[in-house]
Amino acid sequence: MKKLVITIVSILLLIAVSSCTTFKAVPNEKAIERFIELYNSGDTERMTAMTSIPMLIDGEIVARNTDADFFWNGLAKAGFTLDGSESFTTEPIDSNSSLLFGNSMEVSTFFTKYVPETAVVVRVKGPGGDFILLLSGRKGRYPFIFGFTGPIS
Amino acid sequence: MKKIFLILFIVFIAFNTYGQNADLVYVDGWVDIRSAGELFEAFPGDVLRAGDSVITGSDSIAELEQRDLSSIIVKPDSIFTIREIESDTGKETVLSTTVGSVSFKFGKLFGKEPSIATPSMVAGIRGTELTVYAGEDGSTLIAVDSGLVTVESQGVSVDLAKDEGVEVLPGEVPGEKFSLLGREMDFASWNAEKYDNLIADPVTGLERMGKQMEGFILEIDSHNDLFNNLKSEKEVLKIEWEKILEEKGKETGKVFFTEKIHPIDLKTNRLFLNTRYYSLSSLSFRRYILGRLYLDMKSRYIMDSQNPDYLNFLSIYRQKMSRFEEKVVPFLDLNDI
Repeated sequence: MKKLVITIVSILLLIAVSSCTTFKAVPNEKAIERFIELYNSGDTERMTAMTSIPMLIDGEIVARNTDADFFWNGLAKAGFTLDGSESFTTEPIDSNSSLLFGNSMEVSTFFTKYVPETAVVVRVKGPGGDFILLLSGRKGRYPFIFGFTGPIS
Repeated sequence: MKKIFLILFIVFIAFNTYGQNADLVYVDGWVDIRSAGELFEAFPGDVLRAGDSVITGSDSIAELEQRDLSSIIVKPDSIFTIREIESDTGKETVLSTTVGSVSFKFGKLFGKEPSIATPSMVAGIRGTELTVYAGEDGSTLIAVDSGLVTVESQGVSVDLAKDEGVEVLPGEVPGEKFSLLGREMDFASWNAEKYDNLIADPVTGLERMGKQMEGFILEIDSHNDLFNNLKSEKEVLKIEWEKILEEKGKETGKVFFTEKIHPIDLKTNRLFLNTRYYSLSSLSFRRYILGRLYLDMKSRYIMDSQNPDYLNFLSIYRQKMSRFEEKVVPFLDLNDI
């Protein structure tokens, strides 16, 4: 009986923890894979929900949910998908990560102000080259996206 | 008697200062307030001060009230900001709609009536009910329900009365005014038409936006030049002042400071505030109008990123952005980003 109670409590705790929302957690490989799957599924509503506002797209700061939604819908409409296999690479952000997005005061301020130290730079293949996803934290099964840029050489 | 005047004066100042604020009295759906660089969810009872913005989502609405019973309704997908600018007659409130539609109904209990602004125009108002439509292409449409409105853009003014409207394209003078009678105004379809025209010829649209941006830069430059001239003048006067303090004493120094240096301080403060006003207007324009066009073009051409039309657009876009970086960014601070 005691074992059963402990098991139920553990399961409940696990569910509670996994559904917590945090911007400050290093995303693991599985979560990144799930995020790419989510993007490729075309569920733009969910993508917008997983977008941290403000978000960076190339050198542009997206300050409204409406604009993020507009962008994800635009990509889906264009038929843009990322390589769904596990061929992405991940590295923690460093002082040069902002340069992947642009060399402006806005981009560097964005990194200083809005990107958590736990963020990772994910490089994934897509049409025309590699794309960069800036991911951090977690809500349910997915990390939040803070930035998107590419194709990069 | 003197005391009564003093009290009245203080009360007047307090009311006027309060008049620049606005209380959020109604919220439907998710509405954000951006204040001092932070974004947070808005609730009835929140107070908006100069510099603060209300951002509504696609299905949300916010209603603000000023102390003089002016009412401001921020409709879905809109960005509304209270700003301040200095004129010869003192500090003025500017109610700015960057994008979306906002309806105004002004009371006239006390204080100066504010100005209304969008990225492409400024309007002076007198006892007015009006709606401002600020399109995602940077255009503006003003529709007047009552009172008088003077719309100004690129140095040209148009006076509007009840049931009249006018459209202003970014970087252009106001168009011909038209009658609103029998004309159903709908922001969504007006905005969609404007945006379709923009995307049909994005380079022309971008050039027009660039012209609008240059208008802001011109204002920033002229205010900043005056600011720098006054600063140099003040440096010279300060040396003179220190000499006077040393040679003629504290009292003469005080008179010199009050008559010569203090007026310059007031002028430089005013110029600084106005430089900030135009820098922030330029930032909003860049963020929500130019930025959105960029996002659209990026998503449209993401599968064909070497398309010559897209590359041409990008080249012009980057020119505009480096102008922004060079001319506007020096006047922005971390809280603005």
